[in-house]
Amino acid sequence: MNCEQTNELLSPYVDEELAPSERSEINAHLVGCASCLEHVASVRSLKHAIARLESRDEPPGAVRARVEALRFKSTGFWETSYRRRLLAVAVGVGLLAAALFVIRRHQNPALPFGEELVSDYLQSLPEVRPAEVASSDPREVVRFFSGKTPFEPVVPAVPAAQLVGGRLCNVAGRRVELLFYTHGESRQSVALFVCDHAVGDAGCRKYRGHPVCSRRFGKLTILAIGEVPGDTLEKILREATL
Amino acid sequence: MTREDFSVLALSYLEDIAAFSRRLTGNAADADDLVQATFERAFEAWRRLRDPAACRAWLFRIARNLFLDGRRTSAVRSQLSLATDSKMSTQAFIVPAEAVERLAARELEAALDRLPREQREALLLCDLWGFQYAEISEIVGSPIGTVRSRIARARGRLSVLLGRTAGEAEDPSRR
Repeated sequence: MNCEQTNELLSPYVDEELAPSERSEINAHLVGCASCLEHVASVRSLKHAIARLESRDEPPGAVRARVEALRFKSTGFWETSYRRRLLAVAVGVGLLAAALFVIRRHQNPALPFGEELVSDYLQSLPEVRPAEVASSDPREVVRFFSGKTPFEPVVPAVPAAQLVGGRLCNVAGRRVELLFYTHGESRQSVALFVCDHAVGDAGCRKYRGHPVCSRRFGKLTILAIGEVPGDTLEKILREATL
Repeated sequence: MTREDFSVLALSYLEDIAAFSRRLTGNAADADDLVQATFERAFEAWRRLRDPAACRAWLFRIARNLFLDGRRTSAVRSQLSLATDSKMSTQAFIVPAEAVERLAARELEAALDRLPREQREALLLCDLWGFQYAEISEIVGSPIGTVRSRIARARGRLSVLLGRTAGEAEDPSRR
């Protein structure tokens, strides 16, 4: 192999993209050719110089939040597999039957609010319906709710959970904030309802098998519900600040 | 792979896609839009990704295709890719390794900016993001031979361009 033939292959040689036989031929030529050896050093130094440039760029917080919120955006029903669709329909029918059963058997006047809360939560799961505002910036989320709720909107700071967005909800005829967070490394969904309803003492109780925890913040009540156990919800509320 | 697995994997490449988008578009606002559009498309089509190991290259391909879809004008594209091809010989020019070592990043960036788009793109995918030729071929939709040629020509051209900057202190008889 002469210098001209070698030069043709030096670039893929440096990238280790040559077949073993070609690589061996180049190695053999380089042993006795200072000029080609210098060329290899030049290509390598260029490669290393480019590799030192910025290959990663932190996007603005709002962009990151919008992209991360896509995790919770529903994929179309017909895009999912047949088995998943069947499972979804079965779960839906089961939930409907359970709801009808509970409504008929438990007309307890103290419970409709909790029932409605659970129902709203299940229907508003980020996987089911996309958030109306997707942001990890509390100020942006507050701006979204501003003027839409009968109270001054707030977004609680929750040390153990990451805000991802929210949507407006109606609970017991009153407009409330529904805020979505993710909790822990497995990013389990946690939803906080912020409302001006009075729901009695703080604490946790179960509605339709789901723990719902509440805590009063002055005139506001924050109710927590999610994929996490009741004691985790209680901790989240205990640590929440306005 | 579940959707959640895909989410975690795809989002781990957010910064790479942000940097790639920035280089494609050349400005922050368009790059932000492209990043979002890329992930929206990826989350719509994640089931088509059969091999999780190919996720990063797949995201790059989506970003690139969206970018080109947004500004597909054949005249502009050919201008971009061919404008400087015949103006400069790239053969047998060697910029000394030690001269390259002394280059500031902005000088290197300036020289990269002067490469034809397709050459710059192939070179950056190879050297900056560390893709193999086969992956670059998938990303840009061109045969491996073309990718290999673009990278080799990009390096040759870059040597010439950098030689004008960095080689000033070297022996002038080399140029």
